[in-house]
Amino acid sequence: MRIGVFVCHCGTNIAGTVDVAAVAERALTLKDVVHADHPMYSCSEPGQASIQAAIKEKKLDRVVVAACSPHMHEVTFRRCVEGAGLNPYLFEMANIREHCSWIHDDKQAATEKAWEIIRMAVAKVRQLEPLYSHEVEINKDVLVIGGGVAGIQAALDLADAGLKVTIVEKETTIGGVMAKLDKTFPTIDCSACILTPRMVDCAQHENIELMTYCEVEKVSGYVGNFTVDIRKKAAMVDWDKCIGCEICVQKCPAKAPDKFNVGLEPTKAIYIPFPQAVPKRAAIQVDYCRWFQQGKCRVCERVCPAGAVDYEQKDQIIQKRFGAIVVATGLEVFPWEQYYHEYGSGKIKDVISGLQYERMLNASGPYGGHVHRPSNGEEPKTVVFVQCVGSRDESVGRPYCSSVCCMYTAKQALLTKDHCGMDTEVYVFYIDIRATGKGYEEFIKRVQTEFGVKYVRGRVSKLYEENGKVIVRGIDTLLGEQVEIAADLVVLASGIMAAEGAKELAQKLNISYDEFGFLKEGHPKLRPVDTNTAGVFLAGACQAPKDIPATVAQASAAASKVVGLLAKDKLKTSPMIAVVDQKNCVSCWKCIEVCPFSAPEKQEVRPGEFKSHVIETVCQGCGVCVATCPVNCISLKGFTTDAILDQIEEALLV
Amino acid sequence: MAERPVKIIGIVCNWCSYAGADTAGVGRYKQPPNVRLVRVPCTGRIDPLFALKAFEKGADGVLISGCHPGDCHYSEGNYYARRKFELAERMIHHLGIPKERFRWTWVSASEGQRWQQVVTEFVAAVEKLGPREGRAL
Amino acid sequence: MSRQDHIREFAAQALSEGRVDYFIGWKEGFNPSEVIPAFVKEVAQVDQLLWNPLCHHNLVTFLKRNMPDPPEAKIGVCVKGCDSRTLVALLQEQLVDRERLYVVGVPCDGIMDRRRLEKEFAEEIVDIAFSEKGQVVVTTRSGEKREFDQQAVLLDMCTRCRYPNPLYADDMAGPAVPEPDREESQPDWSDLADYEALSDDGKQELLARIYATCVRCFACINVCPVCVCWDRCVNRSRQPELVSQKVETKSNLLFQMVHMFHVAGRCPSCGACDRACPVEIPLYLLHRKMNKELYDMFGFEPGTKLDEKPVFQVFNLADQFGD
Repeated sequence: MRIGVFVCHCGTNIAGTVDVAAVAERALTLKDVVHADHPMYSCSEPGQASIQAAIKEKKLDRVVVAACSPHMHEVTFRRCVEGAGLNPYLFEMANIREHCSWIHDDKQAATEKAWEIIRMAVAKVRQLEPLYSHEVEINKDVLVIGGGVAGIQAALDLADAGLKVTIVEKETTIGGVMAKLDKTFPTIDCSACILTPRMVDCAQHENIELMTYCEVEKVSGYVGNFTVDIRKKAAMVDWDKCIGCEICVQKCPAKAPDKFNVGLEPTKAIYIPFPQAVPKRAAIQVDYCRWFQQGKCRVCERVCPAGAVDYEQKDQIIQKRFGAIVVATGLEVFPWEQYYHEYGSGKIKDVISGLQYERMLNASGPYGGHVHRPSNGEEPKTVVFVQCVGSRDESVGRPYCSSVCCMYTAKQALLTKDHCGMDTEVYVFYIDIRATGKGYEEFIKRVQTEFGVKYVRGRVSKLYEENGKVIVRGIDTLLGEQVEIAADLVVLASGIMAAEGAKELAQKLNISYDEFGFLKEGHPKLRPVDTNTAGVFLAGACQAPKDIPATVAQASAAASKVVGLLAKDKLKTSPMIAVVDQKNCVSCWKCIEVCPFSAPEKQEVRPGEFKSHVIETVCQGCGVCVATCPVNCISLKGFTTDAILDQIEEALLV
Repeated sequence: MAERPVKIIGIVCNWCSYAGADTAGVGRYKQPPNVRLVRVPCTGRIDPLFALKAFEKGADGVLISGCHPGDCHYSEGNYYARRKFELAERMIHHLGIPKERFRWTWVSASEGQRWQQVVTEFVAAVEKLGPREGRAL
Repeated sequence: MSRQDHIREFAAQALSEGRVDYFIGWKEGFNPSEVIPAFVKEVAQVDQLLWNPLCHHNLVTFLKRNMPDPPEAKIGVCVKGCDSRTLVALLQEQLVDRERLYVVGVPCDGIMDRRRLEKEFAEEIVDIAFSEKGQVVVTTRSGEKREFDQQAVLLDMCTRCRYPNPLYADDMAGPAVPEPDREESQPDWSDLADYEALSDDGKQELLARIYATCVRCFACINVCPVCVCWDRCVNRSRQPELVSQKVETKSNLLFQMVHMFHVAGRCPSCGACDRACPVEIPLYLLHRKMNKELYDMFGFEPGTKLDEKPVFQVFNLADQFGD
């Protein structure tokens, strides 16, 4: 065995804390190590070239690179050693940056630890054997979960590239949060005007299938071959017959909360969220329907000209296969009422959320765009906006910035002046103004100067009603004094959360999420739309709060990643999977019992004699069977028991 | 002569806790240098005997960490694992190895700070007991 | 009719009707205090079969050894209550073929501790006689006779028995004996109390002393009715080398821990390993403790329900372990 060890300086990232030259020198004393070097940046072109040269000159058959995390550069170096003719799996990374130099200050201790980490990697690399990938056929259909602007953009890009796309949307229409917005910053163009044509494109595109009022129930399989169970929720209306005429909605006698209008006004038990809904189909909220609750009514059934109402409808599970999945589950608005008791917990009528105000401003909203005080219907003379409600506030468990509120508040402030007149007093309470996008800062300036919106730097401490007004009490930190404003209307710039159910969906997809339910990207900088599960990609606010331009950009990025993935006809599978040594198998079948993927099967090796066999293309390489097999006759390639034990032993050698 | 520093073997899953330790590194969350990590794909891959083997070979502590329940990259590995680790913890104590020397927990890929906390606390607990010398296992 | 008569009759019937190719029971050993397993292939041999409080062998061990080979053989076997739990454990995993099995259940009043009995006498025992009323009369070489109450010399595990009647049998060799109300009562773990009371160092010292004597004869593993690995045992393996092949205290203990983890959730602590150990390592201590912890974790008693899976081959989303 001829092992080469390369201890990376990573500039000063590693060399600043670890004496890399000394460690490389010492590595030469290890058994089988015939070459050791300490390149400045091993991942750089000269760095990789020096590794390849050493492989050829020193006839290395195993390589250890001690550098950053394998999550960072394992793929890079596997490709590098492969380029020099070595099997890429005869390579091991020792993580002496993230796990050593970056977390220690004591140079001597860090150097000693790096030395041990390298010894462990050498111990492991000795146990490695060449591995070879298999190729599997891939399904080229794509699932897009979520029909907001992110899902729409991704679906259209994918469909235009010639791939068949299914959009699964939990509401009865696509459109998402953007469909609720009035205007968009900083251009003040109408949200519906730019979105609805794209919604229609989705409905009409020959490569797109819309599955609205559906949810993902179960996901199995792996990149290139996912099997997804989709729950088609019972709308109690046969959508093949429904023509979206809304007669049922007009005649329905039962009121129900209107999610689309954020609870401003009620809708009916049978409803169509908004006039431009795609598909424009009615559904019954059974919890509010008189027929379902009281066993009387059936008005909708009688008035429907298409005979579409079907009270017997049941949820259906539809199974489909996909090669890749784009998650675009979007966002939810922070429920400020539950947290901000100092703002009246939602009991003060003239205190509303930003999204509610958006519906109020909207010409197709419940008030036809008439801005008024919910308490008495009068046009407000003084409007106060409060930023960072449910953002940058650790006391409510939301330390992050929701990224869009500064801008949408400015937009709404401008629109207030536009709707109610320039003489309307408009105040914005803010902590900082974050206006980093193209044209954003200029927009804020315009709102402040041209429209005369008064920005007050400080937090609002209390909102309360007095003499028919909402008293806004806060502090102006620039002047260092208390401020009190008697407002007619207060709009809270409530922050953004991950959509309800995002965490549960992430669990079904085996992808990571953070403590707030935002889905985790593969790498914050280099793999922003990938996830750690191959074949699953992210688009939009499900990953983190972001505005429409960023959402659309990410959706297109995710689509292009999918196109790249599915451009191949076959996919290479990881060879780091479980393999059964059948001569030692005692046919106890515990492996079959525990495998999450049903990869092991009973294989008849001689008539009547069965042994376990792992199906290569099904195995995902988790190793649960390996730890369960009592005879240890299953080995996990790349993570064999001996490789693990040798690392443990090496780490403990005195 | 000063006591030798304690040596702890950490066995972590690739997707969550190894990545969580990476996140801790990226965030420069400082930690004591006593832990040596062995990367495995999933906590389900971990045979509790690895921990016993580590004690046999002289480890002063063993730390096992993986994805939070519900978050397993392979959906189910950690559900099997937590049953095994719970028994392992109890049996290790039955062998006269103090409970404080064996810890198993969950740290996700985004929990860099939590990783720092887990390592710091565990190392402190093991240091309190000191190095293990001349034991039956 | 005595249990012994029942056993003989059932064996004779099954053999004569061709329902079994052979019948496994107990027979006299080479000295009076030792009963050994009997493999009876013909009706004429059934008189060899006996039942008395020395029938400690768990005959289920022979099932998994004989089940696969010859593939068609139909086997009859006697099980006591504790043995039946190991059979249930095998059946849960379909490791024995129920269709080829004929099981005679033997209600049990407790098995005598042969080693303890032998240690009572300085001289060799030449005869042990059992009375109907549960008395035991031991005669030594010099003619000394002593009478015992059978209950006074039971195996320690039998004094806390929760399953004196077989849980799985096709026929029963006599009426069931009284048994504790298992719904109402908890298992009695008092045998572990002394060990558990030791300090960590105390435990390590004791273990070091006990496991120094292990000779790695594999008797414990070979006799184990739920271990299915036989000569493939990872304890013999050098690749992977989980356990060093060097016979020394640390790896001897690890060796035993391998066995323990591999039978965890399937071992009902039948005590076969403990009784088989030639150097009298109290293996029971490990397996009992394991079962105590499993009971505490899951309320689970291995090998008691046919439709249950061993706890480490399933999981429950609601498990409350760890932080």
